[in-house]
Amino acid sequence: MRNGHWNQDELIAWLYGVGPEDGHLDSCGECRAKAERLQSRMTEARMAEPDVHPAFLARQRRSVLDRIAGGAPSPARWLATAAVAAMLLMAVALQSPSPQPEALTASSADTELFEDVFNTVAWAEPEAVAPLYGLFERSGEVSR
Amino acid sequence: MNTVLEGMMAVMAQPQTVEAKPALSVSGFAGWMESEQRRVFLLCVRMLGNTEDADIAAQDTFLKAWKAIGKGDAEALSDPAKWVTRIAVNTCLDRLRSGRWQFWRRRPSAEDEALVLAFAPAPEPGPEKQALAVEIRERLAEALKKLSDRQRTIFVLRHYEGRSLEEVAAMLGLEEGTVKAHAARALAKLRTELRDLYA
Repeated sequence: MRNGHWNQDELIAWLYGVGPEDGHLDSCGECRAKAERLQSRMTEARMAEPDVHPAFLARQRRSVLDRIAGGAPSPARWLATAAVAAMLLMAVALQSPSPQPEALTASSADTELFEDVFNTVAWAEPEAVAPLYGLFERSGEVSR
Repeated sequence: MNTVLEGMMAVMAQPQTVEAKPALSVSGFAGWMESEQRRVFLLCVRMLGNTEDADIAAQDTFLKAWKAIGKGDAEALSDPAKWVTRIAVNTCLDRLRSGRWQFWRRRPSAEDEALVLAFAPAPEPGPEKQALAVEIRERLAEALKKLSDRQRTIFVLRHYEGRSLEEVAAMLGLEEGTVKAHAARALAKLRTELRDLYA
């Protein structure tokens, strides 16, 4: 059995049903009075809680009744359906094979390679030099 | 017992022909919903921490209630308020579990919240007292977010709904001792968070 009074933490814990179980409140008038004061303050605080705008509640009721009537689906279900659809689309997009480059036949590949090499060798100067040659162009002939 | 709900259930209990649809009165349900709606919505706000999610959860709660009444859920008759509270709590817990990954979701702004929630007239409408009440309310709402889902549920049912721990245990399908342990941990955390308010 304790000798002293309950402190504030113990009183608050008692209010929430988790206070000390030593029966102190039954024998101590002072602590019982404090506990009752705290309880009434808690009730006051509960009364000062926010109210909900009536128009909001009316809209919410209408929405529930619409859903009962089989009208509008749940907003959460809308979101979930949209999310699943988006994920499916992404999955399909990622899974579908990307267009492969056309397979080159051996002969066309060789021809292209030959042309590339020829052009590189034949045109040894950098392309940036081309405008300078343009300055010396005579009767449609470029002198190199 | 809620007379509106009792009347609705009495109509349902009448023998139905095979072809007849259940004779549930939508207007009767709407009346009962109106009587419970504010409390259920605020419970959802406290559990979910914002009005947008709470709106969806409250709507889902009443839709589930409607469906359960249609199936003749007998528990609805014994204590409709407790019954719908349990549905709301489970709906919110499901929503919290499924919403963990939605970290990118836009949360409603304080202005949006203020449009929905207004302050009830205080018993003594002194501006200082009202300002303090607002501060306490806001701080408590923030502190509640730091509790675990179970701790928050238990605290909300005890503090705002005034349910006994025994009732809370029955609602959540937990042992009373477990509820007590969670309640004690919730209180300890809230005390730490709000120490400056009541010191």
